[in-house]
Order: sequence, then structure tokens, then C-alpha cells
Amino acid sequence: MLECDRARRSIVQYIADGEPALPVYASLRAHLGTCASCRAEAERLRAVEGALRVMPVAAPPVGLAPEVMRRVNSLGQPPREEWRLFSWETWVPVVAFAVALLIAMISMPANLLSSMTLYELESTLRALPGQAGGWLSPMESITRNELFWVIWTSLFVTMAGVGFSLSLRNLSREATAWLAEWCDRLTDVTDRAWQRARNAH
Amino acid sequence: MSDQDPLAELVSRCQQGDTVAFAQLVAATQADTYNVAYGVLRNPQEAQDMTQEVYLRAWRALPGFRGESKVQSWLYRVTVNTCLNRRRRLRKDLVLVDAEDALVDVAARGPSVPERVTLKERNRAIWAAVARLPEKYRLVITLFYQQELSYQEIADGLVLPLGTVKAHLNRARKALAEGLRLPEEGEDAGV
Repeated sequence: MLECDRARRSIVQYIADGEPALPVYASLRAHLGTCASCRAEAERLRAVEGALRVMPVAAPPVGLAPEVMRRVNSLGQPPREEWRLFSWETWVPVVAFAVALLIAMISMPANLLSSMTLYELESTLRALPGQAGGWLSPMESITRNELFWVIWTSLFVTMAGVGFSLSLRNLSREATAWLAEWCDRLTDVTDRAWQRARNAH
Repeated sequence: MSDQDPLAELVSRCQQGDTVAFAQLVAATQADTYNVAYGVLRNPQEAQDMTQEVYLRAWRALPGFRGESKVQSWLYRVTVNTCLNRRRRLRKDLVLVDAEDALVDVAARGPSVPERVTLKERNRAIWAAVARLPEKYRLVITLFYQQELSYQEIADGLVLPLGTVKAHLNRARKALAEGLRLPEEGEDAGV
């Protein structure tokens, strides 16, 4: 009865989907043509599907809306939301950037600005396209690699902050879904084990 | 806020404290909210009380609603949470029935349909069996068939994985169908 077992696994969704003529259901349809037992199961599922589709909706009592509004009016105005320029998804990266900037400023060598003239800055910018070696050499001459580390640190902290905040944004939603999924699986396994044990006795 | 949400403008006015807009929002959504509350609580008076409670909570919380989902989905979530909390309090002194045992019970007792019945009688019997389904199965049945939500909308509203929603629906359908089995059909096609 392996064939039936397989059929039973997909028959519920097949009937619920309206018995579509999809290739994935071809073997199921063929099986239904030959197996009276599964055909009877399909018939029962059709009856259930039909009944569920016309299941009456509970109508709210007539005075419900006026009663809600009477109570709402007695509450007064809802507390206004505190004024916020940005949502936290925006301001966390901004704070991360500010921290990166602060670190950059604190770790900046005292003689950096005085030793780096506008002429040197200009020559550095001119050397940038296509000349990585030419880009690094002025740095060394200015601050003995310190400028490089300042920029590197600030970029690292900024990126870490942005990454952390984006992770936080999805963390609770995903964690809840993940937990629910595993609770369900665990419940399923336990139930099956319990059913087997009960049937065995 | 989604452009497709026809209630978005009402929500925006509610957030400014417009009670007329809130009355319109209540009028537009009360049937769905009440039906979901009834689906969870199975008691008209409780469903009515909880529907009122849902709207009072919504009125307080709307200023913080940021439109990341449709307001109707948000209301479903508030309704389900409010009603489930209420049920837990109501059942505090009752003997809790395991959800899977109850599902097996529905399948075993079935809708009590005699062999020859009219379609109307059979449907009534199936609806009555739905009322006996465990809460988590009854809830997805209510949202899928009565509120006509998609699998994804139910998953979003109940904060459940999509696969769990489908699994709950299929297990409920299977239990209801199993209950329609006539005694002489026996165990030939055990599930």
C-alpha cells in the first residue's frame, strides 16, 4: 500500500487547490483512477472543501460599532506618537557613523592637519585613478601610515554598525518564526511517537 | 503604508485623532474582526466584548502604527492575540485538552453524518465539527475560508511560518474528512 500512502500525502493539498491539471499531480490522478479507497478519501475531502467554502460568517451584533465609538469617545484622544525625525533603522547607522567619526577624530595624529598641506592633498587626489602605489606613498610621507589606519578604523566601525543594525532589524521576526517552526516540528515528532506508543498498547 | 490598502487614508486620519475616521474604520472592519473573535472564542458575548476591546486597543495603538502591513492584517493580529489571551484566562480553571487529542477526537467522532443526508445537512455537520477543532486549526480555517486570506497573509497575521499554516490547514481538512468516514469503511485506508 505504499502507493496509497504516497497518494494520501498529496491528496489533501490537491483537492484544496481545486484539483489542478498539473504534471506534479499526474501520478496521483492515475492512482485515483484505479484505487477505490483513495477515491473515497478524495470524495470526503471534496465534501469538506465544499462545506468549508460556504461556511457562514458570524455576523456582528447590531449595536457593536456604536458601543465601540461610545467607549472610544469616553477615552478621549489617543496619546500622540512622539515626534521622531527618523525610525530607529535609520538612526542606528547614523549613530554608528558618528561613533566611527569620533574614533577617527580621537585617533587622528595631532600633527596630521598641520603636516598635510592642501598641495599634498591635491596631489594625492590626482594620483588616485589607476595608481594605488601613488595613492599610498603620500600617506606615508604625511603621517607614517597613521592616516591609513584612521580611515580604515572609521570605515570598519561604520560598516560594522550598519551591519549590526540591519541584522537587529530582522532578528526578532526571524527568531520568532524559527522558534515556532521548531516548536511545531518537535510537537509533531512527540505526537507521532505518542500515537505509535498508544497504538502499540 | 501600502498603496493598495484602501483603509490607508482612514488610518492616517485616525492617527491625527479623527474619531469620525475611526468610526468609518470600525464600520469597515467590524464584521471581519468579530468573525475572527468568534472563530477563536466560539461565544457571541465573549466575541462581542473582545471585539470592543480590540478596537479600544487599536485606537490607543494607531498613532504608533507605521503601515508596514495592511491595517486589516494588523487588526487580525491584535484580534487573535487579544482573544487567545482571553481564552487562556477563561480556561484557567478548566481541564486543558491536548490539541492533537482533540483533533483525533474530531476525526474519530466525525461530524456525525448519517449515511443518507442532504448536502445542507452534511455541510452543517462539518461546520459543527470545525467548532470542535483545536484552536490553532480552527483559527487558520476561519482566516482561510471565512476571511479569505492567503497562506502568506495568515502567516504574517499569526506570525507563523508559511509551512506551518499549510500544515495546520491540511491536518484540519484531513481530520474533518476522516470524520466523514462511514463505519463500514473501516481501517482499510488508515491515515
